[in-house]
Amino acid sequence: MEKLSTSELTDKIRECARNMEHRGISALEELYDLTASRLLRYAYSLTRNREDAEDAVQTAMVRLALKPKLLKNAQYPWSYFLRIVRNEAINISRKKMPMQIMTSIKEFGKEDPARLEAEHIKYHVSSALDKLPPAQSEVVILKVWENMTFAEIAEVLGQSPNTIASRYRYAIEKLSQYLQPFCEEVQYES
Amino acid sequence: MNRKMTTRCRQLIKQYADLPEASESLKQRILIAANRARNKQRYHKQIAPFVCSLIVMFIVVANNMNQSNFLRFGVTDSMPINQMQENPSLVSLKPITEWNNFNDENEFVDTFIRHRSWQTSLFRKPVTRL
Repeated sequence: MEKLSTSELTDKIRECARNMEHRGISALEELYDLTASRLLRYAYSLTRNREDAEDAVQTAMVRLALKPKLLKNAQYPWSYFLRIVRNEAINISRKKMPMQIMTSIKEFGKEDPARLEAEHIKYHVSSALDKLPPAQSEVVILKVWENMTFAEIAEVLGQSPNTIASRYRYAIEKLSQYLQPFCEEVQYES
Repeated sequence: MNRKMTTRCRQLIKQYADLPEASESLKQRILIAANRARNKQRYHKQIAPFVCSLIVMFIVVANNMNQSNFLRFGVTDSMPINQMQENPSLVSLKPITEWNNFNDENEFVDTFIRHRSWQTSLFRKPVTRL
């Protein structure tokens, strides 16, 4: 998937919304190709479950398909879209809270040492992200994966940029602690 | 905090975080759900008001027909002449097929005149006493 800047993404989303208004559901496909992976990653940081993340993305997309004007007229369409997904993800998590299931630990491959190493790091990174509170991990995902500024993240989450910055700082501090062995390896190598 | 550590953390997360990718099946699922929701919305926006207006039209027409003795919700066949004079608004409800059952000629003329007055009126209005 091509990496777009936030402003490029905003323009493309607005164009998709316009197309959806004129051509109907067929234009939803374009919007999906453009945003679905990013939205899914973000929803996953809140729900910690692929199925719930997919449900949140689906509900948000269907909602926008019915009212494309909302997206077209939004001042920051990408932030608005993320916010809808966030609300849906929170709703789903809230409904499922009483029956949360412990995440299963993956089995590591035994044959290929390189794969084993990658799986090992992947496991540690995933569990480090899982250990973060959702409020911090969502900031990390938006900052690291979406390359959004603190101001843009603040727009999505409805918080002040300073709050977002401190959440990010706390999150990175915790992640550095959890991932210290891997971080040190690099320092040693460099 | 050590800047190198932060950068490395970002690298590790970006490289190894096991985050899901959007799949073709999810796309199809979303398109189907959106189509279904759009059809439902169309029904609520266009078809439902049309059906409602049809129902209202039917009620209005039925009401007018009732006034012209086409649909009847009351029976006045056995009503004596003095009661008919006291309640002239009920006279028009006498079924047209049973007009040969009148007691005398006066009753027939009386009812007929009242009935004509109902037929010519568009909306229900009280029948004036003769």
